[in-house]
Amino acid sequence: MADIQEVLHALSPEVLRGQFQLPHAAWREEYVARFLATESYEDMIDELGRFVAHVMTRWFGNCVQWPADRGRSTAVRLLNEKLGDGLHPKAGEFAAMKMCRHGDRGGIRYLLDLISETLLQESLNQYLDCVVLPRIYQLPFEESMDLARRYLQLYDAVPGLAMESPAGIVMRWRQVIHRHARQVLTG
Amino acid sequence: MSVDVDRILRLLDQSRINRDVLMAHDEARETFRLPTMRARDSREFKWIVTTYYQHHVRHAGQGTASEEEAFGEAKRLLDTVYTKDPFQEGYNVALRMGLDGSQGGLRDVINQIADTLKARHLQKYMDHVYFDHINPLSKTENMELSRAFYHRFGPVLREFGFEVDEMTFAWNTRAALEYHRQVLEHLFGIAKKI
Repeated sequence: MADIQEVLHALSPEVLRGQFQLPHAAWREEYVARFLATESYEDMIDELGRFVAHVMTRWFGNCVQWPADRGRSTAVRLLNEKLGDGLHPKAGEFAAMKMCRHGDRGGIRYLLDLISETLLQESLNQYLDCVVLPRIYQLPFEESMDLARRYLQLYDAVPGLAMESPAGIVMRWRQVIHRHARQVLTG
Repeated sequence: MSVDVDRILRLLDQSRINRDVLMAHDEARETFRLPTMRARDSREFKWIVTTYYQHHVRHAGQGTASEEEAFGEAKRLLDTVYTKDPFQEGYNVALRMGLDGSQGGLRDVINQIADTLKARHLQKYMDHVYFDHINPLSKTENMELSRAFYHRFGPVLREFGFEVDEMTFAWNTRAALEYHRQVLEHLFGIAKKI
């Protein structure tokens, strides 16, 4: 029973918001961009890389100073993942540069918000996959069913779960907890 | 008298609008640092919302607002933004978000205020362009503008399925120019990708 309580606690809105969403929001808030529009690609990547380094340094509790070049490479990867069209490997960078050059949709402000959201999503995914799921998979089948029943009682408002049975949830815990986390943070 | 189409199109240029109208709002949001991510109580929430509104209008060059004015405007704005249920005030939804951090929390509330003020300023700017530069045109001049506009952009507009002909343009210039702005933005995006 104690394990079930632990899993339910790990999925509670207090934990998901308090340990992930609010800290990421605070780190974004701490960082003030030096400019919102620029003609230079280097300046744009440098600014975004500084922000990534800032977030990662905070994420590791200020124990390590995240190197700026690593921040830049992460920023480039995130831009191509989030803004890319899948046709050209650098499409995301082009789209970002276009935004920065003319200040479309807020320029750097929009990009920093986007990167902040993506880093939040990545850290949350790691937490769900590497911390919560192993705990669930360690449970015996009966306890896993019990957990599914209690989960359904607590979170019946999560979309797609209204018609779900405990056995259906046990078969696809990963999908359920990811949808749950998304619902808690945005719904 | 000939109509200066170029001048009107320059006024509607996205880069110019970004630079002259919208950028100040993004700067205002970027330079404001939230003191907390979750308000302790409704009084603190009210204080944060009021302070932000005052900061934003001052930074965006829209004058200054007293505390009462700022709170009144911010509340009215949040009422409009967050109203999904007609029997519930949007401000209360925003307050709940600010207190428990749900749906993006206090940060989302402040971002909504910034984005709404930005959208309103854009609307005012479009009003200004329309009322100062297009509305005073006579019917003949409006037709001339419409013809010149279609001579230049007609094929593009038709290509993108905007079924606005010259005559409709002349009678609904404002809506047509808004279409035009959207098409140019869209085309610019495609051109950059290519």
